[in-house]
Amino acid sequence: MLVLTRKIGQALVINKDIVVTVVRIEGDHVRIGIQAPKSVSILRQELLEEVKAETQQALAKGDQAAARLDGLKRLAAKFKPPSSDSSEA
Amino acid sequence: MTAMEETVETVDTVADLPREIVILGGLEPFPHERYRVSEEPDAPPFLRIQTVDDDLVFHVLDPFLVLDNYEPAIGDEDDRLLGLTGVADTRLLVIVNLSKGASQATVNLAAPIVVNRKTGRAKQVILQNATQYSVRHKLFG
Repeated sequence: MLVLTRKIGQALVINKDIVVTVVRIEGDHVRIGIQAPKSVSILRQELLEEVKAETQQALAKGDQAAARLDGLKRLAAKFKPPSSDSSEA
Repeated sequence: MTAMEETVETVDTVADLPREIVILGGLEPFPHERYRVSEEPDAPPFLRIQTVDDDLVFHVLDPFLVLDNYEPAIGDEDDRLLGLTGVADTRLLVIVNLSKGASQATVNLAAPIVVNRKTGRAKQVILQNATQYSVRHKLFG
């Protein structure tokens, strides 16, 4: 990992077309400005990790998928519009 | 029975989805790219995607059934990658998390699987407006 020291207002250039500027520092918060082409994806790392963790939890392996079926059926019933209940009466 | 007709509006089917999709880059942390798509029998509108080479299963939903004013912002780069030219080509699926039981079921609205329904090319995309949506949006209250 490359570690650099920058002052407020100073910037880094990555690949000639990505400019990262230190905008402000307050206590342990650093405000960063990023100029980059639209094609560059910029994400907070926590979000990326959260999405991964969520996918990992959502996975059903082998028998688990079948075990979840009863719960799914209960949930599926809730998607039916209320009008379908009245037809049972 | 009229009950069937009345559910048509909200029940999604795989009719307009390819039977197999290729999720570019996989569903992190799982590298598998090829998934078979099928309806979850007896539990529409839930769909199931299952790896072709393995038995990894995810349950997914059309996010618009969860939030009818869902406004996902997908980057141009992803549109290009998937060859998407308009809404007619595009189908979205969100992953359902049932790990805490059905009553605690959530869907990941921040990172839908975007599918080109004509080619089957797909990708899990973290939305540009991901901060507006939850990774764990409760399905029912």
